[in-house]
Amino acid sequence: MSDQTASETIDTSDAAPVDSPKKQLSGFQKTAIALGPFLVLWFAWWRLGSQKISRTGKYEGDSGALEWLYRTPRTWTVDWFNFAGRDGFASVSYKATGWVNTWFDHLRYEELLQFTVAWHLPKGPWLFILAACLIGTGWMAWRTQSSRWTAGTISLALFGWSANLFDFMQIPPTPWVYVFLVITVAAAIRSLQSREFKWIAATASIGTIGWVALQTNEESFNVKAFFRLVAGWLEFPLDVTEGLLISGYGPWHLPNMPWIFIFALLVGGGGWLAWQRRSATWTISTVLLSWMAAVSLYEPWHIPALPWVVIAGLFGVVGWKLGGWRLALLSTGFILYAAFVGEPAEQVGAETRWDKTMITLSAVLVAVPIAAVLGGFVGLVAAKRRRVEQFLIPLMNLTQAFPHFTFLIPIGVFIGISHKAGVIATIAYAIPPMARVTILGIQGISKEVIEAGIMGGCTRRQMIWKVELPAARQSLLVGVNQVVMECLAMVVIASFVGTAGLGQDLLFRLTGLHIGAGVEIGIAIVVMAITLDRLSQALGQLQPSHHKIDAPFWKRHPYLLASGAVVLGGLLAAQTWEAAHRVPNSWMWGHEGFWEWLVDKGKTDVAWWSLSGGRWLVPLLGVIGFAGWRAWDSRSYRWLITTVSLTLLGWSVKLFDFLHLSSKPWTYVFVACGLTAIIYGYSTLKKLNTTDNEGRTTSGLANSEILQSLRFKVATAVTTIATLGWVALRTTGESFTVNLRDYTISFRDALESWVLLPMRDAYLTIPWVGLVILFGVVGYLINGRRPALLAAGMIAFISLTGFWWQAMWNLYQLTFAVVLAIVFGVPFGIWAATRKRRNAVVQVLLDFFQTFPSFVYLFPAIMFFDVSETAIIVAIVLSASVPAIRYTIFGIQNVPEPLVEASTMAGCTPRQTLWKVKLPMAVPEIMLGINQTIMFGLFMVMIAGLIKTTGLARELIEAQPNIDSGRAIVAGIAVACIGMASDVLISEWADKRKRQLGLIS
Amino acid sequence: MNQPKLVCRNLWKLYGPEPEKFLAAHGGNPSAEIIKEEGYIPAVRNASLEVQEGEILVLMGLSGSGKSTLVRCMSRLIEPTAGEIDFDGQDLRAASERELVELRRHKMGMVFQHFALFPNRTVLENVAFPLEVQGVDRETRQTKALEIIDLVGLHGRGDYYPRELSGGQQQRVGIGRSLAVEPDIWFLDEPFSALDALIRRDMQDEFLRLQSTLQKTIIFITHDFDEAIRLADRIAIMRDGVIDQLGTAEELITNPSSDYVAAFTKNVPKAKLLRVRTLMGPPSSSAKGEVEGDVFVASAANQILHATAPVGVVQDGEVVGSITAAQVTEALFEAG
Ligand SMILES: Nc1ncnc2c1ncn2[C@@H]1O[C@H](COP(=O)(O)OP(=O)(O)OP(=O)(O)O)[C@@H](O)[C@H]1O
Ligand SMILES: [Mg+2]
Repeated sequence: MSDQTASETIDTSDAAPVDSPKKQLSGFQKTAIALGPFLVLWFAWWRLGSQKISRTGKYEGDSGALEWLYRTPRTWTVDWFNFAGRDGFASVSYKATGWVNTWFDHLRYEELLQFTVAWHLPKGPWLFILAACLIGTGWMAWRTQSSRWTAGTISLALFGWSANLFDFMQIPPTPWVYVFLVITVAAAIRSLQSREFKWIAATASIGTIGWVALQTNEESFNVKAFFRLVAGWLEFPLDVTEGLLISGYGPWHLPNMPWIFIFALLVGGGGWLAWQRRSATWTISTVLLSWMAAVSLYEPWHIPALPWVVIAGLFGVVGWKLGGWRLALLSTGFILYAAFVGEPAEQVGAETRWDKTMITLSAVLVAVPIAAVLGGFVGLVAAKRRRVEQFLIPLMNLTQAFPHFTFLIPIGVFIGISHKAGVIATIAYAIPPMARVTILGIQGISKEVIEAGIMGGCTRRQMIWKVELPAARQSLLVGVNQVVMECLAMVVIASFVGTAGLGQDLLFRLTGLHIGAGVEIGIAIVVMAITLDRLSQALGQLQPSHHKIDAPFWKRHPYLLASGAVVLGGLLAAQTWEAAHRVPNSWMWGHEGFWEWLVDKGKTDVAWWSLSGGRWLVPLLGVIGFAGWRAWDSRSYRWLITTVSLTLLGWSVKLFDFLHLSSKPWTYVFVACGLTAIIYGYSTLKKLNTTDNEGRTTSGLANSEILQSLRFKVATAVTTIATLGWVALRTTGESFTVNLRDYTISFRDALESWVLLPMRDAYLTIPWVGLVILFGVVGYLINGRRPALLAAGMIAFISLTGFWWQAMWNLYQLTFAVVLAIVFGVPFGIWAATRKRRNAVVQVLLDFFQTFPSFVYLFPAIMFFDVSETAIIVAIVLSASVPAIRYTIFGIQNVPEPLVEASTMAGCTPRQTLWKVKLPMAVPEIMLGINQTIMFGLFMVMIAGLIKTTGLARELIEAQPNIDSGRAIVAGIAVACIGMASDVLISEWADKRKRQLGLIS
Repeated sequence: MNQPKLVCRNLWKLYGPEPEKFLAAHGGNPSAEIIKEEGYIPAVRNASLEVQEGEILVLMGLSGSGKSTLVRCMSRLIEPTAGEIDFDGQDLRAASERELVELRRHKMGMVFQHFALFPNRTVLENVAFPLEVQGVDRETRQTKALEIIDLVGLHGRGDYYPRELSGGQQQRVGIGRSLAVEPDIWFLDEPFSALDALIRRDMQDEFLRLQSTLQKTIIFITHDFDEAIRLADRIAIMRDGVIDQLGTAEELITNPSSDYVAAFTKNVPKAKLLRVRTLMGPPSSSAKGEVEGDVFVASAANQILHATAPVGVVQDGEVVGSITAAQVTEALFEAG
């Protein structure tokens, strides 16, 4: 049972060194206090369970007195969410009767959604009351000239309208719509000009009255309809981008005659303005207008989408502007991949990979600005008002602990399954990080700059637009980058509620287990993610630098001109040459077959590229000779390794067949040679070492040099003999054929039957009381009552949701994977942090991995382990190692430089410095990394539900938004609870420890 | 006498919970001990001062003595807890937000210790910022800003970004920006402290040159007594939020009100600051030769030290006293 408690052991043993000044408990005592009751309880119920409790947590015995301790009694959960009837695996009768479900059930039925029924207030008293209120607020608004009171008045009026109070005002729409429109617009223009309150008030009231009076003949207010209406506004930007990228606009059945003139006028006017004012904006508008005009006139009233050449070119120009030619190459590469790679469409008109990529791109292009603006706005308000901030920060922490799926449920309920529902979920998911970054950015502006703005005479609005937002630009752009990444992370998940595009395609392929196509689409998404990530990052790093004010136009706007040229050239090319408009089928190339083959045959049979003798042998021998010479000459192990690898490469492609030796005698010869070399080398080394220690006849430096060189010689001799032996002896065999999958599958089977399944069964018998006590005690030992109550409360909450065994199932996966990720990630991080060069390389790799949407990690897992528990665990380990490594490196590098210098001066070897100084100092940061690892792991467990649903993931994913919403929401809360409980413990501990170490004050 | 430009009367600024109530509860004038006991931070205590038109008033004091807070209260960047501020006879504390914006747009300017330039704007745009905020049209504000850029000696750097400039140049931009609206009163909060000694000297000269043409009313904060002496008409020394002493440099040196003030003036080359008139004794009959009473001791020292007898001191053509070599050496070497 020791391995099952691995994670807990880590928690407590790391928590052990925390000393409270009052009573000193030794680490051992603390561990005992924390783990003791838990283990005793667990063991007791485990024994009990071996007789009476089935694996799925169903209690089969009759001693009901014990049951409540083991499993939250049904009567407890009933009152909360009532998932009565969920008796483990076999049961399918998820009877939803709890209030969460009831509520969502209500929303499900159209007639109940018509809140109008409930709203319909009796006219007599209510109209009177409302009128009184309206007059009161209106008068206040007029007196104080405050926009707040005005807004209040308008909301009151709309409220009355929504409750059908104003029915009597009903007027026929035909003439009145125009009348109201005209008056409102006139008043709006007037108020814009004069900015006087009375005009603003006039606009608002006329508009409101018009709305109220005109809309009463509608069916009045309806919640769901209202949500859909709001969601419908998204359609406009989506239509615009999709039209631009894929579908084109039109056909507009515009009458021919006036429009030619109109276009001519517009283009002429725009061009003239552009020339007059030397204005970039007008130039762009004119170019766009003339494009619209040209295309419309050429192919009347249907404007086709941008041809791929133009899109590729534009991406190139943007990349070039933001980050030089490398980024330009990357961006163009992304578009080219989208255009050329993929199976060609089977029938004419079917969606190709290109179309899907563009749909996803357009969704991202719409979601990113909206999320950024909304998040920025929320952040701005929070940064200005302490109250709002205090309210928002915990809320945002909460939302970020929820798995992505949770965001889909309410949206699916309110808006329904559609493309835009997914886009809205994406936006909702991306808002919190943006808000967070905005808060930090705005609050991080130096106080003096703010004061300078005020002293410059800014009004509040001017402060925001002219001082605060521009000064926080850098962090806002970091936020935009985050938003881009969140949006791409949601691409696949959002397709659960119907978002079209690459994600949906991938989802279908994955659920159909078409790995090859899945990988291909996955690569497309990853390429897109990397491109957009780099582009938005570069945008954030862009620093303005000056150019002469009187420089010629083309010098000031080279990129504008370049994009103009790209657009014009591309359009012309597309007009004359169909292939420039849309990549013809014959040019497309799909590589899904390759991946299928890789998975199906499961063989990485290198011999399939066997090369024929002579011609290749000579250059290879040359290269090997050179590498060997370099190795010998520079005494460099790297070159030695290169030499050996080259030789093995040659062997793998059968170039050394002629060396063929019969194995019998020669094996012994080679082994003997190798042994001799080792023994000889070892003895000389020893001799040298002893003379060094005793006599110091030669100078220390020279001696160590001799030692090193000798070591190298021995290594060379041994490797040469071994390689030669291998090459010469193994040529007889079937050459190099490794069936990787044979190994991985048998590894998987062993792992599952010996470790995973027993561990899972053990976890499923964890008594909830025990776990609650464990978290409570650990929390208390760490930092007193607050974390104890929080952590224990969250765990208790999980048990009250009735999802106990599901949660335990995920907990076991999480424990195992996180421990693996730590065992792998932390030492790797330490290794990487010790050298500058190494660190740089690793950082680049980590950045690269971090841009992957998490589902990507499923592919290698499935390839090698099929769809299985092991695959899930491998995927979790892969994705969760990234933060473990990153934080370890960060922690080690963050150790204050003077400390390191001090320890070096005290005579520590680098190793001692690492173990005695750097690591202890870095432990808090590493623990935070582990915290992140747990979060990543948790999300990955849920995403792994795409291939195999287990535990809570099953509840989340299988509960379709429109069928069993309450279940999914409660499961989401349970997942968040696991994450937050461990977060509370670890971050409290890290905080405390950092304070003790003086890393923060 | 004409009306002072800016008047502060009994200005208070306390940090802590509900400071107004606390102040009122203690009759508007709590002692330092009570303030400390109740856990309030007294940033400014009962400060009163007047600034005349065209005067340079220098605020000095140790770090944390409340100089910045006082100045920020005067410009109402910080809301004072109690007290009155009159600017041109207008009660600043009663001014509405809109009136304040107007005042800042046309009458006040401020220069900051760490320059506080907008990183996203060029030098030109930084300088033109207050005009832009006022809604001045582009042409006008560009011409104006270019003029000012020339004035502060940054000709040709208009299209640079702040981070492309050195510290001294950045502060010139800061000064230029605060001058763009031609303010009546000019607040400078340690404008030269972030600069190294040589550049600081340059900037002081520059500042004096500007002031000689502009004749603004100035409130200037510094840590550096030498700087204060070079620039100030009057100096106010602050301690723990209180204005300890307010007077000319000479007054502070000859007549410090406390050890604290004396400590400030201790290392000052007094001969350069004291006038003969201040040191002289009563008229002496044995006096030979004469010096003007208004000259600094340093410039008259040669004559007095070489004279064998006391030297007569004249003012407006009349003999008002006499001065001996002993008195001069005492002043020079701070004997006694
Ligand atoms: N926002 C604040 N909250 C609490 N105390 C403050 C605040 N701002 C200033 N103080 C306190 O008011 C006192 C005066 O601060 P102020 O900045 O005016 O000092 P200063 O004389 O300008 O010092 P320096 O020369 O270092 O700039 C200090 O003790 C400071 O701690
Ligand atoms: Mg200060």
